[in-house]
Amino acid sequence: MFHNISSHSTKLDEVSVHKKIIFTCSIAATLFFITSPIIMFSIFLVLLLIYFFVGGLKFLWAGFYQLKITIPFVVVLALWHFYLDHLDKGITLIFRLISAFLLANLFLMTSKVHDIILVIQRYSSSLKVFGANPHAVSITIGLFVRSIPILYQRARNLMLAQSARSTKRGFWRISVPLAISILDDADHVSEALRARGGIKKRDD
Amino acid sequence: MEKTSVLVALFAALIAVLGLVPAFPLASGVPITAQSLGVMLCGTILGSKKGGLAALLFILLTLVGLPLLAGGRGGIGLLAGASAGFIVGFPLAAYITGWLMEKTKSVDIQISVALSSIVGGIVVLYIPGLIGMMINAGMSLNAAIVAVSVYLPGDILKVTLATIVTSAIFKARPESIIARH
Repeated sequence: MFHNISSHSTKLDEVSVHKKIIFTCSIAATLFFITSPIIMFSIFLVLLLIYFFVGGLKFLWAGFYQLKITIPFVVVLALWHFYLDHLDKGITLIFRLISAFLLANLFLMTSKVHDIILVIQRYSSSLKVFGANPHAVSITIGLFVRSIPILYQRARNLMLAQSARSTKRGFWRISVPLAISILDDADHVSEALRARGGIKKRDD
Repeated sequence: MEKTSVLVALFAALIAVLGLVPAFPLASGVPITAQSLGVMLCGTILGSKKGGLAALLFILLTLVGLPLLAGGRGGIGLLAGASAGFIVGFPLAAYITGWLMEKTKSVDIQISVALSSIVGGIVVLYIPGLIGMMINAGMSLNAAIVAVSVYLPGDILKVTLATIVTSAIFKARPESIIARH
């Protein structure tokens, strides 16, 4: 279910994921402090140039294509600010949104999901400071990511079973069996975890 | 410990799967999705702490970059969008829903679930949601309230669904509704 959004090979593929996370987060945070539409637009152009230099024209196009999900947001922001006659603010907000998406996609398109999860699990050990058990956090993250495709497949199977029994469709009809199956899974998986030694205590 | 981890992981995955049910984007830039139903269920079934943790896990991994939100959205860029407040509000909404479930143990299950999910899943979720729309879309409070009122019918439908699901589970196996232990 998870794969790289882009199959393009780029110059950023080999850069370590945690450097890319730090870069993405710090630039994204900076975007919120910029209020000038000209600077915001320049950042947008710089990001496009980065796409081009990192992966060529095809990669730039793929990055642009990923922006399609922002279209409804951009249209609403544009109409709203045109209506209010706040064009400066509107342009800043629109290019902030687009730049933030370009930045996040740049990270996603050049990193494998598996590597991202490994980095998250490694960082989770720092949660010790807050009294969390890093082993528990790491197992929970792994289980979470692994169970999404399983639950998705189960929801589809339930929908198929439902459509075999009745012409009435709709997600809500399968929501009770889906929820009960999840609770069943929780019993089985936690037993299985315990049988394999369980989650380590904080001090181990 | 094991059971807690597994429940948190599986319910976080449930929120993600509910995002794969087709979403309807609306004019205000915040789509109608089934994901807030997942958030309500986290609270009504798992209770405050576990439910809040499940929603928090989902949000953290989405913000780091997994494309888990409805429509395949993910990444830190979401914080610049109109729905940023709703996304950040998920863990709080699940926590409050669960907390209210725990406080209304003696009340009839259907009333308890309906009340908790209305307060947690609608009222509490809309507060950061409105703030997010005011900041990121530059709307005034009144305009933001008008914009989110479109979502109310859908959210009331979700409250009904959360009530049906939770009380059906409670009827079949009361021990599974951790919020009422």
